[in-house]
Amino acid sequence: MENRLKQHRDTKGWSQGELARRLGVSRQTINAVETDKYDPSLPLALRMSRLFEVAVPELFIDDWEPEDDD
Amino acid sequence: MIGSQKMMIEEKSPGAPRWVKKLLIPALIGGVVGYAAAAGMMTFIDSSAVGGLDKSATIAALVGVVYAVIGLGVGFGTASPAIGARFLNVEDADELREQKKVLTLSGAAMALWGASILALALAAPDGPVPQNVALAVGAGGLVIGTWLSLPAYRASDELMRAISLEASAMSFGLVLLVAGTWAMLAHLGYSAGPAPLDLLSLFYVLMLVASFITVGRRGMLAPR
Repeated sequence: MENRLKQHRDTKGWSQGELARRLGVSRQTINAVETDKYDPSLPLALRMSRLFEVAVPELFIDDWEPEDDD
Repeated sequence: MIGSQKMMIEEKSPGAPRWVKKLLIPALIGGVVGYAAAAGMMTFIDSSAVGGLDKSATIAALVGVVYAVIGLGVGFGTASPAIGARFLNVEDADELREQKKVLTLSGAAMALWGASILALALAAPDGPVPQNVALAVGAGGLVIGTWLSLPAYRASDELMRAISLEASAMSFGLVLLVAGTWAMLAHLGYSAGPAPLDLLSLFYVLMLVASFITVGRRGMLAPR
């Protein structure tokens, strides 16, 4: 899933290692998320959104739209 | 299997292009070490101490060497992060320090699994290792290695746990496909059935293959 994690991390001026430390995960996880190779769990996505003070949909972009009932 | 993904190597040597530092040099180191270990084992098998082994035992011994080399490489690289960062696929030495517990346990587990199948491959009557010793090392290595992989799993973060589960699921599918097809052909008389050591080697090899496929799909074989 496309995401804006790297942009938000760059805005804060943090390295992958610094973000990993703050989130309690490995640098590999941050790298895998930023390169769209891994979608984080809901708890980790929520932690990311709290850390960057943005809503989850601001971080992770999903083009899915609900079908119209009409 | 967490350790295996780390054996994809990395860097240094200021001034050299990135692909040389990140791919060529580590691949050369891995190739030379792997070739030397395999050649050493083949020489030992053909020596007067062993006097040659059948095909199943030879393949099992080589599989054991691969596991032992990967396990020892990860263990050594983790114990000496400054050196390990030059041949393991990490960003820098600090990343190895951060993951010391997981990598140490994983490396030890792989080395023990390697010792386990190696002891079985070299077991008497064809090999020089007494059968009771081979049984102790074979079963002990398998059980202790598996036991060590449990705290490694618990100490892993969610990505590594997901990879472990995916690799396990994929290796089951591969075993079903390969061993199942072999058994089917043997049952119908189209080929000889797998020897016990062939099955063990298959389990080991397919687990390694599944691990590399899984970490590759997660982008973890790409140079950091």
